[in-house]
Amino acid sequence: MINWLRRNGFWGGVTLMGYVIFAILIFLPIYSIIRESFFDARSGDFGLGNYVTFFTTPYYFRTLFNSAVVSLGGTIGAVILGVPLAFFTTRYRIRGSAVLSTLATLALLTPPFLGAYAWIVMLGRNGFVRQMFLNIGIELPTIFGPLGIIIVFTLQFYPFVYLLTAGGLKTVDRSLEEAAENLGARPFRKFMKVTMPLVLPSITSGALLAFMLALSNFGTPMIIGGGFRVLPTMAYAMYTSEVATRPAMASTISIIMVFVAAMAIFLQRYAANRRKYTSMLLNRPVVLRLKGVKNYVAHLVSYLIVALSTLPMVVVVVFAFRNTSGPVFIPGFGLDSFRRVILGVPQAITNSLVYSLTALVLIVGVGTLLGFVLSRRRTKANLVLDALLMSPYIIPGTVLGIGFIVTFNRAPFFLYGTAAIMILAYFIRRLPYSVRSAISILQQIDPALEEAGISLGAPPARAFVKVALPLMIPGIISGAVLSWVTAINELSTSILLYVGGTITMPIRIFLSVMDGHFGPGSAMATILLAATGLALLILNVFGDSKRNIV
Amino acid sequence: MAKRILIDGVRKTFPGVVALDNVDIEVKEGEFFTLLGPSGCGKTTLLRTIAGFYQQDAGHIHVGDAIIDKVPAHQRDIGMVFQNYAVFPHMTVAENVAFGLKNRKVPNAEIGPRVAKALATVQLTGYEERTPDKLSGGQQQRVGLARAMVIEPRLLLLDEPLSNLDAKLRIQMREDILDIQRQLGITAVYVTHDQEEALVISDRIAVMNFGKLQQIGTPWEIYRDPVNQFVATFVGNMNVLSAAETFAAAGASEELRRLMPAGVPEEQITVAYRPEDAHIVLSGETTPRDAVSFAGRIDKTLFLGSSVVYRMHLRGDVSTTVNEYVSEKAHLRPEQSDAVAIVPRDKLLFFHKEDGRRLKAEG
Repeated sequence: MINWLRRNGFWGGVTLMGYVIFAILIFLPIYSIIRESFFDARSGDFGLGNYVTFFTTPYYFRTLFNSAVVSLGGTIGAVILGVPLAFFTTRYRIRGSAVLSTLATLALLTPPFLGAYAWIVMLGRNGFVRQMFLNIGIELPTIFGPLGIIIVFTLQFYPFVYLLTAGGLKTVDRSLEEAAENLGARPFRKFMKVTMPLVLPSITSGALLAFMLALSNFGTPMIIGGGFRVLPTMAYAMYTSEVATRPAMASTISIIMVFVAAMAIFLQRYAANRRKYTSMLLNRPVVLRLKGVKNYVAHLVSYLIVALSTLPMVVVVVFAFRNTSGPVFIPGFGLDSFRRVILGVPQAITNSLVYSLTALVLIVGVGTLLGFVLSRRRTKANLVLDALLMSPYIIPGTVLGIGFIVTFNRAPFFLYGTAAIMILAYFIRRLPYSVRSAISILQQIDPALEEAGISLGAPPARAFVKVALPLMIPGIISGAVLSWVTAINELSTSILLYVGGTITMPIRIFLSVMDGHFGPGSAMATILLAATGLALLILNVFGDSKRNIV
Repeated sequence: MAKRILIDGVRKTFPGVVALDNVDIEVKEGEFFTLLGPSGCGKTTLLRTIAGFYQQDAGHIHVGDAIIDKVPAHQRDIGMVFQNYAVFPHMTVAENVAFGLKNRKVPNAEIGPRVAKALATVQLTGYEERTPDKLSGGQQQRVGLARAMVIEPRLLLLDEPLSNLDAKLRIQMREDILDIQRQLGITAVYVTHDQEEALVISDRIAVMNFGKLQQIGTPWEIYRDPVNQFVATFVGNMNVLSAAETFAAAGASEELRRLMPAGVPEEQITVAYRPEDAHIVLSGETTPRDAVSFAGRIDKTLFLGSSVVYRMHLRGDVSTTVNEYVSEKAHLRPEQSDAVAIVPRDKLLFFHKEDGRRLKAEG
């Protein structure tokens, strides 16, 4: 070991650290779940019994079908909203398109369960929008159920499709479209035959992201699903009912979830690799100024999409300032809800800050070193590690939470209920963001710069600190902001791992909503939104603004 | 201190490719030595192996009396100038140049004057506090040069340093680089795929192809006395004709037959000459008796200003090019006229068709 390190130096040590992190925080939990899933829920026998039960019992099997329906529905919705918005804002002059883009990004960074919660406030049984319509004699359906989940997913995840597609559309060389026109293609045919195929990889990447997030989303179906159960909520329900025994069914459902996610990634990669275009962008696309009705329609559609997705945030903030009496809103505005949150559950706020910031320090430090090693030293060991470290992308939070408990709630760890397990969960779930950010900024930094440093006599570590690191800072900040925002908003893993003393803001909000205490819930959510907004501001000022955050 | 470099049987393979195939080169003290070849020939691999960015699979690299195979790149004390300049964008010009001195723990009092002197050498005095994004490509490359030589390395490596500059600047910079190298007396190894650049700048050139050394020699030897067809055609322009076709159809004069190398069947021989070594006469005009002539027809007359290029097709379907200096309009040969290309016998080269090796002319 010592000899190995001496031979491979500091960067060899970083690779080794990457493997250790993977082994303990990803492999071990997943391995534990896989093992548990083979112990029959009733008899305790080792075998495929649980899987047979899952696929032969409608009660379980239906959740797979339900998950597929809402995830695909949400993905299709996201494409329907995201692609036109991307096309309008990149190809036509839309007033305030920078604001639209910022609002869409903000929508993307807010946790989906906040959106779900805001929709209850609007379209729940006593939702104010529903009440308004009831007063004029129209009974709107409630937001509860599969359609509601699809609506929330659509509005939550369309920004991924929008941002990626817009990025793709901006890099289609104008000459290609001009060539199509020159060869006699009408505008619609030009779009379908030239533009569309060229941005299709961007669209499918965005759609895949939306699908993965929808599939693994726990908060939304938990809050507005009603009796409609999907894989993550079923895994959670099974876990809580199996507390006294081995988490056999919860583990089985977890493995099925990971399998579906892996299949989705595989399909998208396969499709994307078949059509891959490298573009030498010589002529930027033109931005047209539309006239008359077309102009109004383009503006109206763009504003409407962004407004719909911003609405939940507005609702949450407004309701945070409304006066309440117990669970009921009463007329008038004030800071009462904030007072109750800050005085009543200060622990949730401090915990959230402490956990997310501690995790952030670890994520940035480890992620930057790993990103450097993975992008600059393309050894076999590092290529494999690169793929392994991306696995948190396909492991739903619920699954990781169950894995963490199964693994770390026993010797030699005994971490259940500690702050450490929360921080480790944040760390491993968000580490890929930081690693990816570091890798992507390094792709813009000529390796010759570090070589120049080395040839001028700087040892590799000094060349990294003096040359590469200062140039990486914008990328590191981008990754850090993303990691932090998603960590502080984390719900699906922490809901499984928390005990009374380690409660966080998202958990507190979730519990308030489940109890019907909308006032304090809104106030807490507003604090969370403010933190997210602040982070986004930091990103815009200091971050690598040329790069898309997705 | 300038040092002699000895590259002794260096071999380097990448998965599926032999990038360097037992390369032996000796670069003399203070010499300007160029590695020339098409992309993928191994020249950059060799340079990066000398710099220590690649480790060779076999063979040794000597600098002076020392073998540096095991010395890590940052301790090799070899200056390098990069194709994309690799000027640190987050440092000023002065900070860039001082970087290597600081790594060497040169006292601060000494750094200032040495940076100033280096910048003066590359004519960038007054640019100390600028950041690289305010500099043109040529200026950035001067910073790269100043930064590499300020550390007074044993050896200076230049990896296609001019290929990203525009044509005019390239011509000026290559002379500047040569002047600076002469002034410092430093040993330099230069990589380029531009054969004209190599001829202009080098004391000696090593031509490489597919990881193998083809020929080492002075620019004159490389151009005038190539050892094989690859070197002959890669450096400068060269007409290459199949000997058999030439006799069958191309209207070659009998003089050519007397020159044909002995011991190799005619169909295994190619005949070559440089376009500027030939000149054109119209059919019916007298031809010198000791020269080889190829009869045909002028397809195109291309006026380049300083010279005229004639594209001819000989009888059969063989084409050839002649490049002539023409200062009188009356001497321009019109297109579509029957003409003869005249090549002095000592300017004809012969190569083996299969392996491309040079064959000795008879007579």
